[in-house]
Amino acid sequence: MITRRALLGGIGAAALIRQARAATQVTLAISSNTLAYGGLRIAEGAGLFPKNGLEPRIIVMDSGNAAISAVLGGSADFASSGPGEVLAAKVRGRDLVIVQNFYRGLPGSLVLSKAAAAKSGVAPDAPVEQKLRVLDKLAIAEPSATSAYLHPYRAASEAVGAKIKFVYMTQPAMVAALQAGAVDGIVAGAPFSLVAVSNGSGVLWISGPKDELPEPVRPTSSACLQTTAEYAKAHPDIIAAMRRVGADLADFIQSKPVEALVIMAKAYPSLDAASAKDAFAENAKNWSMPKMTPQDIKREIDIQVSSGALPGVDKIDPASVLWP
Amino acid sequence: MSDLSSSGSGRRIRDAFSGNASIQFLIFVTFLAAWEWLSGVFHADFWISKPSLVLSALIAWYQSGDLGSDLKITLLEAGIGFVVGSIAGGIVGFVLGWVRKLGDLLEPFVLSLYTLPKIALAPLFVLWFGIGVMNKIMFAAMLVFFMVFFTTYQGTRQVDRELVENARLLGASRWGIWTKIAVPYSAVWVFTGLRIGLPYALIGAIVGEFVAAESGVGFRIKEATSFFNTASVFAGLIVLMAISLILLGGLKLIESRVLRWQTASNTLNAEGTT
Repeated sequence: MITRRALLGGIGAAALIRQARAATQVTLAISSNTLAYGGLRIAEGAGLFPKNGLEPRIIVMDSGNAAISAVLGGSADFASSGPGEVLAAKVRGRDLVIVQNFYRGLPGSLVLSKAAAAKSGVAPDAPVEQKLRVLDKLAIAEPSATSAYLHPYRAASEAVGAKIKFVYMTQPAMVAALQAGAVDGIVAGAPFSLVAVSNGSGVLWISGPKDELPEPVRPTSSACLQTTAEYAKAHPDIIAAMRRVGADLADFIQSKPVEALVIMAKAYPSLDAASAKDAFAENAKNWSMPKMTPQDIKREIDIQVSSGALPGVDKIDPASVLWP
Repeated sequence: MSDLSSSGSGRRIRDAFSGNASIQFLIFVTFLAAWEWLSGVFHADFWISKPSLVLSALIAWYQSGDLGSDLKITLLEAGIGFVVGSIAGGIVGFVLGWVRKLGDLLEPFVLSLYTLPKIALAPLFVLWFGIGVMNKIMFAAMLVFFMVFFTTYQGTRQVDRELVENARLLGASRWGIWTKIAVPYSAVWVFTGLRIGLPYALIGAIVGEFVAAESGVGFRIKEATSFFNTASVFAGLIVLMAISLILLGGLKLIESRVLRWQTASNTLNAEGTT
Protein backbone atom coordinates (compact mmCIF):
# COMPACT_ATOMS: atom_id res chain seq x y z
CA MET A 1 0.00 0.00 0.00
CA ILE A 2 1.65 3.23 -1.12
CA THR A 3 0.75 6.24 0.96
CA ARG A 4 0.35 9.71 -0.49
CA ARG A 5 3.34 10.96 1.53
CA ALA A 6 5.57 8.16 0.26
CA LEU A 7 4.47 8.85 -3.30
CA LEU A 8 5.21 12.55 -3.01
CA GLY A 9 8.52 11.78 -1.35
CA GLY A 10 9.40 9.41 -4.14
CA ILE A 11 8.56 11.99 -6.79
CA GLY A 12 10.63 14.60 -4.95
CA ALA A 13 13.59 12.24 -4.61
CA ALA A 14 13.35 11.30 -8.27
CA ALA A 15 13.37 14.97 -9.23
CA LEU A 16 16.46 15.56 -7.08
CA ILE A 17 18.22 12.54 -8.57
CA ARG A 18 17.32 13.76 -12.08
CA GLN A 19 18.72 17.19 -11.27
CA ALA A 20 21.89 15.70 -9.80
CA ARG A 21 22.28 13.46 -12.84
CA ALA A 22 21.73 16.34 -15.21
CA ALA A 23 24.25 18.59 -13.42
CA THR A 24 27.66 18.76 -15.04
CA GLN A 25 30.57 18.37 -12.67
CA VAL A 26 33.12 21.16 -12.85
CA THR A 27 36.31 21.38 -10.81
CA LEU A 28 37.29 24.87 -9.80
CA ALA A 29 40.68 25.54 -8.18
CA ILE A 30 40.74 28.84 -6.29
CA SER A 31 43.80 30.71 -5.10
CA SER A 32 42.79 31.18 -1.46
CA ASN A 33 39.89 31.11 0.91
CA THR A 34 39.61 34.85 1.35
CA LEU A 35 36.55 37.01 0.93
CA ALA A 36 37.55 37.61 -2.68
CA TYR A 37 35.63 34.37 -3.14
CA GLY A 38 32.78 35.40 -0.85
CA GLY A 39 30.53 35.80 -3.90
CA LEU A 40 31.48 32.36 -5.12
CA ARG A 41 30.65 30.92 -1.70
CA ILE A 42 27.30 32.69 -1.72
CA ALA A 43 26.55 31.29 -5.17
CA GLU A 44 27.49 27.83 -3.90
CA GLY A 45 25.40 28.15 -0.72
CA ALA A 46 22.41 29.60 -2.56
CA GLY A 47 22.33 26.69 -5.00
CA LEU A 48 23.01 28.86 -8.03
CA PHE A 49 25.29 26.26 -9.60
CA PRO A 50 22.75 23.37 -9.61
CA LYS A 51 20.15 25.87 -10.78
CA ASN A 52 22.28 26.33 -13.88
CA GLY A 53 23.04 22.64 -14.32
CA LEU A 54 26.45 22.67 -12.68
CA GLU A 55 27.86 20.68 -9.81
CA PRO A 56 31.00 22.48 -8.67
CA ARG A 57 33.89 20.92 -6.81
CA ILE A 58 35.76 23.85 -5.32
CA ILE A 59 39.34 23.23 -4.24
CA VAL A 60 41.29 25.82 -2.27
CA MET A 61 44.90 25.93 -3.45
CA ASP A 62 48.00 27.48 -1.92
CA SER A 63 48.25 30.31 -4.46
CA GLY A 64 46.90 31.62 -7.74
CA ASN A 65 49.84 30.07 -9.49
CA ALA A 66 49.00 26.64 -8.06
CA ALA A 67 45.37 27.07 -9.13
CA ILE A 68 46.39 27.89 -12.71
CA SER A 69 48.87 25.02 -12.73
CA ALA A 70 45.97 22.67 -11.89
CA VAL A 71 44.09 23.90 -14.96
CA LEU A 72 47.14 23.73 -17.21
CA GLY A 73 47.87 20.23 -15.93
CA GLY A 74 44.29 19.18 -16.69
CA SER A 75 43.24 18.33 -13.13
CA ALA A 76 40.84 21.28 -12.83
CA ASP A 77 38.44 22.74 -15.38
CA PHE A 78 38.62 26.28 -14.05
CA ALA A 79 40.99 28.30 -11.92
CA SER A 80 40.50 31.54 -10.13
CA SER A 81 43.21 34.02 -9.23
CA GLY A 82 44.09 37.57 -10.15
CA PRO A 83 44.62 38.57 -13.79
CA GLY A 84 48.37 38.91 -13.06
CA GLU A 85 48.74 35.14 -12.91
CA VAL A 86 46.87 34.74 -16.20
CA LEU A 87 49.16 37.27 -17.85
CA ALA A 88 52.23 35.49 -16.42
CA ALA A 89 51.01 32.22 -17.96
CA LYS A 90 50.21 33.94 -21.26
CA VAL A 91 53.70 35.41 -21.44
CA ARG A 92 54.94 31.80 -21.24
CA GLY A 93 52.75 30.89 -24.22
CA ARG A 94 49.80 29.30 -22.37
CA ASP A 95 46.45 30.02 -23.97
CA LEU A 96 44.46 30.92 -20.87
CA VAL A 97 41.33 33.02 -21.02
CA ILE A 98 39.29 34.92 -18.48
CA VAL A 99 35.62 33.99 -18.48
CA GLN A 100 34.29 36.43 -15.91
CA ASN A 101 35.10 38.40 -12.82
CA PHE A 102 34.59 37.17 -9.26
CA TYR A 103 35.83 40.25 -7.46
CA ARG A 104 36.10 43.76 -8.84
CA GLY A 105 38.72 45.92 -7.13
CA LEU A 106 41.02 45.14 -4.26
CA PRO A 107 39.95 42.93 -1.34
CA GLY A 108 43.40 42.98 0.28
CA SER A 109 43.82 45.35 3.21
CA LEU A 110 47.01 46.40 4.92
CA VAL A 111 47.09 45.59 8.62
CA LEU A 112 49.98 47.18 10.47
CA SER A 113 51.35 45.72 13.70
CA LYS A 114 50.39 47.69 16.76
CA ALA A 115 54.07 48.36 17.50
CA ALA A 116 54.76 49.75 14.02
CA ALA A 117 51.58 51.84 14.11
CA ALA A 118 52.47 53.30 17.51
CA LYS A 119 56.05 53.99 16.41
CA SER A 120 54.87 55.83 13.30
CA GLY A 121 53.03 58.47 15.28
CA VAL A 122 50.34 58.53 12.58
CA ALA A 123 46.73 57.81 13.44
CA PRO A 124 44.87 55.04 11.56
CA ASP A 125 42.35 57.64 10.37
CA ALA A 126 45.02 59.96 8.94
CA PRO A 127 45.05 60.68 5.17
CA VAL A 128 46.22 57.67 3.16
CA GLU A 129 49.35 59.48 1.87
CA GLN A 130 50.59 59.87 5.44
CA LYS A 131 49.82 56.26 6.21
CA LEU A 132 51.67 55.12 3.10
CA ARG A 133 54.75 57.18 3.99
CA VAL A 134 55.28 55.37 7.29
CA LEU A 135 55.57 52.05 5.43
CA ASP A 136 59.06 52.98 4.25
CA LYS A 137 61.54 50.13 4.94
CA LEU A 138 58.93 48.11 6.82
CA ALA A 139 58.64 44.35 6.24
CA ILE A 140 55.16 43.75 4.89
CA ALA A 141 53.88 40.27 4.03
CA GLU A 142 52.28 39.71 0.61
CA PRO A 143 50.85 36.48 -0.84
CA SER A 144 53.18 36.23 -3.85
CA ALA A 145 55.19 38.07 -6.47
CA THR A 146 52.26 37.98 -8.92
CA SER A 147 49.51 38.62 -6.38
CA ALA A 148 46.85 41.16 -7.30
CA TYR A 149 47.45 42.67 -3.85
CA LEU A 150 51.11 43.48 -4.50
CA HIS A 151 51.13 46.17 -7.14
CA PRO A 152 48.56 48.56 -5.60
CA TYR A 153 50.49 48.84 -2.34
CA ARG A 154 53.89 48.94 -4.01
CA ALA A 155 52.88 51.60 -6.55
CA ALA A 156 50.99 53.72 -4.03
CA SER A 157 53.82 53.66 -1.49
CA GLU A 158 56.49 54.37 -4.08
CA ALA A 159 54.44 57.33 -5.30
CA VAL A 160 54.91 58.96 -1.89
CA GLY A 161 58.58 57.97 -1.66
CA ALA A 162 58.20 54.95 0.61
CA LYS A 163 59.89 51.66 -0.23
CA ILE A 164 58.27 48.63 1.34
CA LYS A 165 60.29 45.46 2.00
CA PHE A 166 57.89 42.78 0.78
CA VAL A 167 58.01 39.27 2.21
CA TYR A 168 56.04 36.51 0.50
CA MET A 169 54.01 34.00 2.47
CA THR A 170 50.61 32.36 2.35
CA GLN A 171 47.76 34.36 3.85
CA PRO A 172 46.97 31.90 6.68
CA ALA A 173 50.62 32.14 7.79
CA MET A 174 50.48 35.94 7.83
CA VAL A 175 48.32 36.21 10.93
CA ALA A 176 50.81 34.10 12.89
CA ALA A 177 53.73 36.10 11.53
CA LEU A 178 52.14 39.39 12.58
CA GLN A 179 51.24 38.01 15.98
CA ALA A 180 54.81 36.81 16.51
CA GLY A 181 56.20 40.21 15.50
CA ALA A 182 58.00 38.62 12.56
CA VAL A 183 56.65 41.21 10.13
CA ASP A 184 55.59 44.83 10.52
CA GLY A 185 52.43 44.39 8.57
CA ILE A 186 50.44 42.15 6.26
CA VAL A 187 48.44 42.63 3.09
CA ALA A 188 45.68 40.06 3.17
CA GLY A 189 42.07 39.64 2.29
CA ALA A 190 39.38 39.08 4.89
CA PRO A 191 38.96 36.94 6.95
CA PHE A 192 42.73 36.95 7.56
CA SER A 193 43.01 40.74 7.75
CA LEU A 194 40.00 40.95 10.06
CA VAL A 195 41.29 38.14 12.29
CA ALA A 196 44.62 39.95 12.64
CA VAL A 197 42.73 43.04 13.80
CA SER A 198 40.28 41.24 16.06
CA ASN A 199 42.99 39.20 17.83
CA GLY A 200 44.73 42.45 18.72
CA SER A 201 47.95 41.90 16.79
CA GLY A 202 47.42 44.73 14.34
CA VAL A 203 45.42 47.75 13.29
CA LEU A 204 43.60 48.15 9.98
CA TRP A 205 45.89 50.65 8.27
CA ILE A 206 44.61 50.80 4.70
CA SER A 207 41.39 49.15 3.55
CA GLY A 208 41.33 47.64 0.07
CA PRO A 209 37.56 47.10 -0.21
CA LYS A 210 36.87 50.66 0.96
CA ASP A 211 38.92 51.92 -2.00
CA GLU A 212 41.30 53.88 0.20
CA LEU A 213 44.16 53.53 -2.25
CA PRO A 214 44.32 56.00 -5.15
CA GLU A 215 42.19 54.95 -8.11
CA PRO A 216 45.02 54.62 -10.67
CA VAL A 217 46.73 51.82 -8.71
CA ARG A 218 43.63 49.80 -7.94
CA PRO A 219 43.23 46.56 -9.93
CA THR A 220 40.16 45.91 -12.01
CA SER A 221 39.95 42.39 -10.67
CA SER A 222 41.51 40.43 -7.83
CA ALA A 223 39.83 37.13 -8.57
CA CYS A 224 38.51 36.09 -11.96
CA LEU A 225 37.37 32.83 -13.50
CA GLN A 226 39.90 31.35 -15.90
CA THR A 227 40.25 28.34 -18.10
CA THR A 228 42.15 27.28 -21.19
CA ALA A 229 40.91 28.51 -24.57
CA GLU A 230 40.75 24.87 -25.62
CA TYR A 231 38.35 24.00 -22.78
CA ALA A 232 36.22 27.09 -23.38
CA LYS A 233 35.95 26.23 -27.07
CA ALA A 234 34.99 22.64 -26.32
CA HIS A 235 32.44 23.47 -23.60
CA PRO A 236 30.46 26.56 -24.63
CA ASP A 237 27.45 25.34 -22.62
CA ILE A 238 29.49 25.17 -19.40
CA ILE A 239 30.96 28.62 -20.02
CA ALA A 240 27.47 30.00 -20.59
CA ALA A 241 26.23 28.30 -17.42
CA MET A 242 29.10 29.72 -15.38
CA ARG A 243 28.26 33.18 -16.68
CA ARG A 244 24.62 32.69 -15.78
CA VAL A 245 25.74 31.83 -12.24
CA GLY A 246 27.61 35.16 -12.12
CA ALA A 247 24.56 37.09 -13.30
CA ASP A 248 22.27 35.19 -10.90
CA LEU A 249 24.67 35.96 -8.06
CA ALA A 250 24.47 39.69 -8.72
CA ASP A 251 20.66 39.45 -8.66
CA PHE A 252 20.67 37.30 -5.53
CA ILE A 253 22.92 39.68 -3.58
CA GLN A 254 20.77 42.62 -4.60
CA SER A 255 17.40 40.99 -4.03
CA LYS A 256 18.18 38.86 -0.96
CA PRO A 257 21.02 40.59 0.92
CA VAL A 258 20.13 39.12 4.31
CA GLU A 259 20.10 35.59 2.96
CA ALA A 260 23.38 36.27 1.15
CA LEU A 261 24.94 37.58 4.37
CA VAL A 262 23.86 34.46 6.28
CA ILE A 263 25.37 32.19 3.63
CA MET A 264 28.59 34.22 3.58
CA ALA A 265 28.89 34.19 7.37
CA LYS A 266 28.45 30.42 7.34
CA ALA A 267 31.20 30.06 4.76
CA TYR A 268 33.63 32.11 6.87
CA PRO A 269 33.13 30.88 10.45
CA SER A 270 36.24 32.70 11.72
CA LEU A 271 34.37 36.00 11.33
CA ASP A 272 32.22 37.08 14.26
CA ALA A 273 28.72 38.40 13.51
CA ALA A 274 29.73 42.08 13.48
CA SER A 275 32.81 41.48 11.29
CA ALA A 276 30.78 39.37 8.88
CA LYS A 277 28.19 42.14 8.56
CA ASP A 278 30.89 44.77 7.93
CA ALA A 279 32.69 42.52 5.47
CA PHE A 280 29.49 41.88 3.56
CA ALA A 281 28.67 45.58 3.40
CA GLU A 282 32.18 46.39 2.14
CA ASN A 283 32.47 43.60 -0.41
CA ALA A 284 28.97 42.84 -1.73
CA LYS A 285 29.21 45.35 -4.59
CA ASN A 286 32.56 43.90 -5.66
CA TRP A 287 31.07 40.41 -6.03
CA SER A 288 28.27 41.70 -8.19
CA MET A 289 30.20 42.89 -11.25
CA PRO A 290 31.05 39.76 -13.23
CA LYS A 291 31.78 41.45 -16.55
CA MET A 292 35.33 42.26 -17.62
CA THR A 293 36.24 44.36 -20.63
CA PRO A 294 39.36 44.64 -22.81
CA GLN A 295 39.92 48.02 -21.15
CA ASP A 296 40.12 46.25 -17.80
CA ILE A 297 42.68 43.84 -19.17
CA LYS A 298 44.61 46.70 -20.77
CA ARG A 299 44.85 48.28 -17.34
CA GLU A 300 46.07 45.01 -15.82
CA ILE A 301 48.72 44.79 -18.54
CA ASP A 302 49.78 48.37 -17.83
CA ILE A 303 50.11 47.47 -14.15
CA GLN A 304 52.39 44.56 -15.01
CA VAL A 305 54.40 46.71 -17.44
CA SER A 306 54.97 49.33 -14.75
CA SER A 307 56.06 46.69 -12.26
CA GLY A 308 58.63 45.38 -14.76
CA ALA A 309 58.19 41.86 -13.44
CA LEU A 310 56.80 40.33 -16.62
CA PRO A 311 58.94 41.06 -19.67
CA GLY A 312 56.90 40.70 -22.86
CA VAL A 313 53.54 41.33 -21.20
CA ASP A 314 53.06 44.50 -23.28
CA LYS A 315 52.83 42.34 -26.42
CA ILE A 316 49.66 40.62 -25.21
CA ASP A 317 46.48 41.68 -26.97
CA PRO A 318 43.96 42.54 -24.20
CA ALA A 319 41.08 41.13 -26.25
CA SER A 320 42.82 37.75 -26.49
CA VAL A 321 42.75 37.40 -22.70
CA LEU A 322 38.95 37.59 -22.50
CA TRP A 323 36.74 34.77 -23.70
CA PRO A 324 34.08 36.32 -25.95
CA MET B 1 103.68 -7.74 0.74
CA SER B 2 100.55 -6.38 2.25
CA ASP B 3 101.53 -2.88 1.09
CA LEU B 4 102.00 -4.13 -2.42
CA SER B 5 98.62 -5.88 -2.46
CA SER B 6 96.88 -2.85 -1.00
CA SER B 7 98.44 -0.51 -3.55
CA GLY B 8 97.41 -2.96 -6.27
CA SER B 9 93.84 -3.08 -5.06
CA GLY B 10 93.88 0.70 -4.76
CA ARG B 11 94.88 0.95 -8.38
CA ARG B 12 92.14 -1.48 -9.37
CA ILE B 13 89.61 0.62 -7.47
CA ARG B 14 90.92 3.77 -9.14
CA ASP B 15 90.74 2.12 -12.54
CA ALA B 16 87.22 0.90 -11.90
CA PHE B 17 86.25 4.34 -10.69
CA SER B 18 87.69 6.08 -13.69
CA GLY B 19 85.81 3.58 -15.87
CA ASN B 20 82.61 4.26 -13.95
CA ALA B 21 83.19 7.99 -14.08
CA SER B 22 83.43 7.91 -17.88
CA ILE B 23 80.24 5.89 -18.13
CA GLN B 24 78.49 8.19 -15.65
CA PHE B 25 79.63 11.21 -17.63
CA LEU B 26 78.33 9.62 -20.82
CA ILE B 27 74.95 8.88 -19.19
CA PHE B 28 74.78 12.48 -17.97
CA VAL B 29 75.56 13.97 -21.37
CA THR B 30 73.07 11.61 -23.07
CA PHE B 31 70.42 12.60 -20.56
CA LEU B 32 71.01 16.31 -21.22
CA ALA B 33 70.96 15.80 -24.99
CA ALA B 34 67.73 13.76 -24.78
CA TRP B 35 66.16 16.39 -22.54
CA GLU B 36 67.08 19.20 -24.95
CA TRP B 37 65.90 17.24 -27.97
CA LEU B 38 62.61 16.02 -26.48
CA SER B 39 61.75 19.46 -25.16
CA GLY B 40 62.35 20.95 -28.62
CA VAL B 41 60.49 18.26 -30.55
CA PHE B 42 57.41 18.31 -28.31
CA HIS B 43 57.53 22.09 -27.63
CA ALA B 44 57.55 21.19 -23.96
CA ASP B 45 59.84 23.88 -22.56
CA PHE B 46 56.94 25.34 -20.54
CA TRP B 47 56.56 21.98 -18.77
CA ILE B 48 60.10 20.64 -18.50
CA SER B 49 62.25 23.52 -19.81
CA LYS B 50 65.51 22.45 -21.48
CA PRO B 51 69.19 22.41 -20.50
CA SER B 52 70.12 25.40 -22.70
CA LEU B 53 67.36 27.53 -21.09
CA VAL B 54 68.32 26.33 -17.62
CA LEU B 55 71.92 27.30 -18.31
CA SER B 56 70.78 30.75 -19.47
CA ALA B 57 68.71 31.12 -16.31
CA LEU B 58 71.71 30.11 -14.19
CA ILE B 59 73.91 32.67 -15.97
CA ALA B 60 71.27 35.39 -15.57
CA TRP B 61 70.94 34.51 -11.87
CA TYR B 62 74.71 34.73 -11.44
CA GLN B 63 74.95 37.99 -13.38
CA SER B 64 72.18 39.57 -11.31
CA GLY B 65 74.39 39.11 -8.27
CA ASP B 66 71.64 37.27 -6.40
CA LEU B 67 73.06 33.76 -6.79
CA GLY B 68 75.90 34.39 -4.33
CA SER B 69 73.74 36.04 -1.69
CA ASP B 70 70.96 33.46 -2.09
CA LEU B 71 73.43 30.61 -1.74
CA LYS B 72 75.02 32.24 1.29
CA ILE B 73 71.69 32.50 3.07
CA THR B 74 70.46 29.01 2.21
CA LEU B 75 73.81 27.45 3.13
CA LEU B 76 73.86 29.36 6.40
CA GLU B 77 70.37 28.16 7.31
CA ALA B 78 71.00 24.58 6.23
CA GLY B 79 74.51 24.50 7.73
CA ILE B 80 73.57 25.73 11.18
CA GLY B 81 70.41 23.63 11.12
CA PHE B 82 72.50 20.58 10.24
CA VAL B 83 74.97 21.18 13.05
CA VAL B 84 72.27 21.87 15.65
CA GLY B 85 70.12 18.91 14.53
CA SER B 86 73.13 16.56 14.36
CA ILE B 87 74.43 17.48 17.80
CA ALA B 88 70.98 17.23 19.38
CA GLY B 89 70.13 13.99 17.54
CA GLY B 90 73.53 12.49 18.30
CA ILE B 91 73.44 13.29 22.03
CA VAL B 92 69.82 12.23 22.57
CA GLY B 93 70.28 9.13 20.41
CA PHE B 94 73.44 8.16 22.28
CA VAL B 95 71.92 8.68 25.73
CA LEU B 96 68.70 6.82 24.93
CA GLY B 97 70.62 4.06 23.17
CA TRP B 98 73.08 3.64 26.01
CA VAL B 99 70.63 3.88 28.91
CA ARG B 100 68.34 1.11 27.70
CA LYS B 101 65.59 1.60 30.26
CA LEU B 102 65.30 5.27 29.41
CA GLY B 103 65.37 4.41 25.70
CA ASP B 104 62.59 1.84 26.06
CA LEU B 105 60.56 4.36 28.03
CA LEU B 106 60.95 7.29 25.64
CA GLU B 107 61.17 5.55 22.27
CA PRO B 108 57.37 5.59 21.63
CA PHE B 109 57.27 9.34 22.26
CA VAL B 110 60.15 10.06 19.89
CA LEU B 111 58.55 7.77 17.32
CA SER B 112 55.24 9.63 17.70
CA LEU B 113 56.98 12.93 17.07
CA TYR B 114 58.77 11.44 14.10
CA THR B 115 55.51 10.33 12.49
CA LEU B 116 54.16 13.90 12.55
CA PRO B 117 53.95 15.32 9.02
CA LYS B 118 56.64 17.90 9.62
CA ILE B 119 55.70 20.03 6.64
CA ALA B 120 52.44 20.88 8.44
CA LEU B 121 54.51 22.42 11.22
CA ALA B 122 56.12 24.93 8.87
CA PRO B 123 53.48 27.67 9.39
CA LEU B 124 53.73 27.14 13.15
CA PHE B 125 57.47 27.69 12.95
CA VAL B 126 56.68 31.17 11.66
CA LEU B 127 54.77 31.76 14.88
CA TRP B 128 57.51 30.33 17.07
CA PHE B 129 60.66 31.52 15.33
CA GLY B 130 59.55 34.38 13.05
CA ILE B 131 60.37 34.68 9.36
CA GLY B 132 64.11 35.25 9.63
CA VAL B 133 66.89 32.69 9.38
CA MET B 134 66.04 31.21 12.80
CA ASN B 135 62.80 29.77 11.39
CA LYS B 136 64.68 27.91 8.64
CA ILE B 137 67.52 26.85 10.93
CA MET B 138 65.10 25.29 13.40
CA PHE B 139 63.10 23.58 10.68
CA ALA B 140 66.26 22.13 9.15
CA ALA B 141 67.50 21.12 12.62
CA MET B 142 64.23 19.32 13.34
CA LEU B 143 64.45 17.26 10.15
CA VAL B 144 68.12 16.40 10.72
CA PHE B 145 67.53 15.58 14.39
CA PHE B 146 65.37 12.54 13.64
CA MET B 147 67.72 11.16 11.00
CA VAL B 148 70.75 11.36 13.28
CA PHE B 149 68.81 10.33 16.36
CA PHE B 150 67.53 7.04 14.95
CA THR B 151 70.84 5.92 13.48
CA THR B 152 72.79 6.88 16.62
CA TYR B 153 70.19 5.24 18.83
CA GLN B 154 70.36 2.06 16.79
CA GLY B 155 74.14 2.12 16.63
CA THR B 156 74.56 2.64 20.36
CA ARG B 157 72.12 -0.16 21.11
CA GLN B 158 74.23 -2.51 19.01
CA VAL B 159 77.40 -1.92 21.02
CA ASP B 160 78.75 -5.29 22.08
CA ARG B 161 77.57 -5.55 25.71
CA GLU B 162 79.94 -8.45 26.46
CA LEU B 163 82.85 -6.27 25.46
CA VAL B 164 81.57 -3.55 27.76
CA GLU B 165 81.21 -6.01 30.65
CA ASN B 166 84.68 -7.37 30.09
CA ALA B 167 86.14 -3.87 30.00
CA ARG B 168 84.30 -3.04 33.20
CA LEU B 169 85.64 -6.20 34.88
CA LEU B 170 89.11 -5.25 33.79
CA GLY B 171 88.68 -1.93 35.59
CA ALA B 172 87.76 0.44 32.77
CA SER B 173 86.09 3.66 33.90
CA ARG B 174 82.68 4.73 32.60
CA TRP B 175 84.34 7.54 30.62
CA GLY B 176 86.81 5.05 29.17
CA ILE B 177 84.03 2.69 28.14
CA TRP B 178 82.16 5.54 26.46
CA THR B 179 85.11 6.98 24.63
CA LYS B 180 86.94 3.76 23.81
CA ILE B 181 84.04 1.42 23.06
CA ALA B 182 80.60 3.05 22.77
CA VAL B 183 81.46 6.12 20.70
CA PRO B 184 83.82 4.38 18.24
CA TYR B 185 81.37 1.48 17.89
CA SER B 186 78.44 3.73 17.03
CA ALA B 187 80.46 6.20 14.98
CA VAL B 188 79.71 4.43 11.69
CA TRP B 189 76.01 4.67 12.44
CA VAL B 190 76.31 8.32 13.39
CA PHE B 191 77.98 9.08 10.09
CA THR B 192 75.26 7.18 8.26
CA GLY B 193 72.74 9.41 10.04
CA LEU B 194 74.72 12.50 9.10
CA ARG B 195 74.84 11.42 5.46
CA ILE B 196 71.09 10.86 5.42
CA GLY B 197 70.46 14.04 7.40
CA LEU B 198 72.50 16.38 5.21
CA PRO B 199 70.01 16.61 2.31
CA TYR B 200 67.25 17.01 4.90
CA ALA B 201 68.99 20.12 6.21
CA LEU B 202 68.69 21.62 2.74
CA ILE B 203 65.09 20.49 2.46
CA GLY B 204 64.33 22.14 5.80
CA ALA B 205 65.89 25.43 4.71
CA ILE B 206 64.05 25.36 1.39
CA VAL B 207 60.68 24.55 2.96
CA GLY B 208 61.21 27.40 5.40
CA GLU B 209 62.00 29.74 2.52
CA PHE B 210 58.89 28.54 0.68
CA VAL B 211 56.72 29.51 3.66
CA ALA B 212 58.17 32.98 4.19
CA ALA B 213 61.35 34.58 2.93
CA GLU B 214 62.90 37.56 1.24
CA SER B 215 65.88 35.76 -0.28
CA GLY B 216 67.54 32.38 -0.59
CA VAL B 217 67.48 29.61 -3.18
CA GLY B 218 64.02 28.41 -2.06
CA PHE B 219 62.68 31.95 -2.31
CA ARG B 220 64.00 32.24 -5.90
CA ILE B 221 62.42 28.90 -6.82
CA LYS B 222 59.09 30.02 -5.41
CA GLU B 223 59.34 33.37 -7.16
CA ALA B 224 60.13 31.66 -10.48
CA THR B 225 57.14 29.36 -9.95
CA SER B 226 54.91 32.41 -9.54
CA PHE B 227 55.93 33.54 -13.01
CA PHE B 228 55.71 30.03 -14.52
CA ASN B 229 59.44 30.32 -15.20
CA THR B 230 60.26 26.61 -15.41
CA ALA B 231 63.87 27.20 -16.49
CA SER B 232 64.60 29.24 -13.35
CA VAL B 233 62.90 26.61 -11.20
CA PHE B 234 65.20 23.96 -12.66
CA ALA B 235 68.18 26.29 -12.23
CA GLY B 236 67.35 26.52 -8.51
CA LEU B 237 66.93 22.77 -8.25
CA ILE B 238 70.23 22.13 -9.99
CA VAL B 239 72.00 24.53 -7.65
CA LEU B 240 70.50 22.66 -4.69
CA MET B 241 71.55 19.33 -6.15
CA ALA B 242 75.09 20.60 -6.69
CA ILE B 243 75.30 21.92 -3.11
CA SER B 244 74.02 18.61 -1.78
CA LEU B 245 76.57 16.62 -3.77
CA ILE B 246 79.46 18.88 -2.75
CA LEU B 247 78.50 18.74 0.92
CA LEU B 248 78.02 14.98 0.81
CA GLY B 249 81.45 14.67 -0.81
CA GLY B 250 82.93 16.78 1.99
CA LEU B 251 81.20 14.67 4.60
CA LYS B 252 82.47 11.49 3.01
CA LEU B 253 85.99 12.89 3.15
CA ILE B 254 85.61 13.74 6.84
CA GLU B 255 84.13 10.30 7.46
CA SER B 256 87.03 8.56 5.75
CA ARG B 257 89.49 10.55 7.90
CA VAL B 258 87.65 10.08 11.18
CA LEU B 259 86.89 6.41 10.61
CA ARG B 260 90.22 5.60 8.99
CA TRP B 261 90.59 2.70 11.39
CA GLN B 262 87.17 1.30 10.68
CA THR B 263 86.34 0.83 7.04
CA ALA B 264 82.92 -0.36 6.03
CA SER B 265 84.22 -3.85 5.21
CA ASN B 266 85.88 -4.13 8.63
CA THR B 267 82.62 -3.20 10.25
CA LEU B 268 80.74 -5.80 8.26
CA ASN B 269 83.33 -8.41 9.15
CA ALA B 270 83.16 -7.45 12.80
CA GLU B 271 79.38 -7.72 12.74
CA GLY B 272 79.66 -11.06 11.03
CA THR B 273 81.89 -12.47 13.74
CA THR B 274 79.92 -11.22 16.73
